[in-house]
Amino acid sequence: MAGDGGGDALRVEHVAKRFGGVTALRDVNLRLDRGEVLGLIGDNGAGKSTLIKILCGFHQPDAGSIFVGGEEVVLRSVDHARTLGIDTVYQDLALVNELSVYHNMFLNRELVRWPLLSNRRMRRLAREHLEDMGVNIPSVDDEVAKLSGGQRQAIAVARSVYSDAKILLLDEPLAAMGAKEGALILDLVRDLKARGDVSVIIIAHNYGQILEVCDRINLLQHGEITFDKPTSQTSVQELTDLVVAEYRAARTQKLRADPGMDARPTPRG
Amino acid sequence: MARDQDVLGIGMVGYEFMGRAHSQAWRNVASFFELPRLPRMAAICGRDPERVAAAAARLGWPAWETDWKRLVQHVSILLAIALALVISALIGFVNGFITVFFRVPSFVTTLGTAYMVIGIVLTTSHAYPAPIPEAATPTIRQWFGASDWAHLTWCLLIVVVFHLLLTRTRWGLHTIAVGGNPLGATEAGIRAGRIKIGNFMMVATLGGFAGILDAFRINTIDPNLGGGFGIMFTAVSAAVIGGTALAGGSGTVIGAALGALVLAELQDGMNLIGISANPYFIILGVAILVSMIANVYLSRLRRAGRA
Repeated sequence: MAGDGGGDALRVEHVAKRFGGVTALRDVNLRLDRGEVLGLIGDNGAGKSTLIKILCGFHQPDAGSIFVGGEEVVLRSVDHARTLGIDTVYQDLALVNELSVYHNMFLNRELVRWPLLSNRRMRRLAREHLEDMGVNIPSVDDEVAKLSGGQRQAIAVARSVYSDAKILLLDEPLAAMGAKEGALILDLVRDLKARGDVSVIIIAHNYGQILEVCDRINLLQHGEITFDKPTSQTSVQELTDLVVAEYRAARTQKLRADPGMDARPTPRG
Repeated sequence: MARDQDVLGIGMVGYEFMGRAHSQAWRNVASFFELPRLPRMAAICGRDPERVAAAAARLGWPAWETDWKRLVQHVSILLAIALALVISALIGFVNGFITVFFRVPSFVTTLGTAYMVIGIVLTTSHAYPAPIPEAATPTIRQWFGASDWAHLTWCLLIVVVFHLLLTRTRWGLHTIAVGGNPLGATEAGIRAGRIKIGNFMMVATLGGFAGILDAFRINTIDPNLGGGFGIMFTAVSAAVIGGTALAGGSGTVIGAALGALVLAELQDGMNLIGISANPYFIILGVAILVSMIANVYLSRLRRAGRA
């Protein structure tokens, strides 16, 4: 495995997070090896996005510890996490429709010759970098609003890669993506893995695609990691069964609490 | 008054024993010492209006005030203008703070504080216009709005500076980002609250400056000026007609300037060709609605044309 020599890039121990009365994360333990691609799966509301937002410094955990490169850290803000080499591609992409592709590529990391922006340099670097990564867009001057979902996703990923991130968090990069666009993202992740110095956590619902690129799979259920296996020892079938079993168990529990529920016609049949 | 640089305006707070001592010192100091600048006793300040008025007459001060901020006007008009701009910026800070931390829609926040500030101005002035302080030299008056060219010069300068600020600096880029996608901008690490409050402060400072220009233009500081809302709504209309989205994310400084030009030309043109100015508001209203509808429609068209 890739992590044999280098030790872990990121470790999470007993992390918990509540929002008011809702427990989003109960007790999360997670390890990401250096150069590894880890798939994080789980049903909606299992706490995946909360975990990502804690790892990138957006939320602060109520309890638990986070280790980056073996050292314990308190991630104070997104900026702080970024200085430690943690970068995120959010589910909502964090792109600004009204700005050009190259301004989005450099958002909050603009190149400046004080007091003005170095637009020409940013434009050139953005174009070169996107070409390097095989991302095809008509022009880096276009507003992001004009691009397709896949192109936007590719730009968000390219932006994080460009930032020299050591740990890349991808929150559902394959959601709402056509087959061709999904393949583009998976290729980007493979290229990163080939480089060997970037560790990646991917959240996804499509188990087939995630098994293609990941080294290891973790399942998050009710705010805890309940399953941890290398990709070679699991299958789409097993992962599907796990999540469906969870759904069945929840339903049985509800039935026990409200026996009348079964008598009502269910739309799912 | 033309040789302003040779005179030092003196404002004094307090009129009891030490006030008397200092008054007599200021009165005689020029005949005793060789001074680089000639002191001019401008005004005295105290809390009790009757007693400070009596003290001013007795001690030889030509004017008196009960508010140190107004005392400053007698001493140095530039200092007073700077103070007014700082106070404007503070009002902007309050607006920004309320909008950002209490999540009140900005339009409502500014409506509330606008009424409040107008109320404070009317109460403290008893709704009487104040004269332009005599410390203002003709040069200062001309530069700050009394001349024909002052408004246009300031306007062009401000438009150029703020156009560059919006389109060519990090601040401007982050302003557009926070307006277009507040969550996304925050996720990218931009401190949205700081950007918003900063912009509120800039706008408020410019608003205060517009007030100063207008005061010098009409040569009186009138608290009743259009109920205070006239210029403000014209400014908002100009920005909207110029393509600024009130929800944020789009708009240009040049667009707003063109919007202002259109409105001013409209009003002026109607006067010049002798049409009654009364339908002006009808045209203004229609212009706002048409430009907003076009704005929404065009951006929908543009978005439909993607991919």
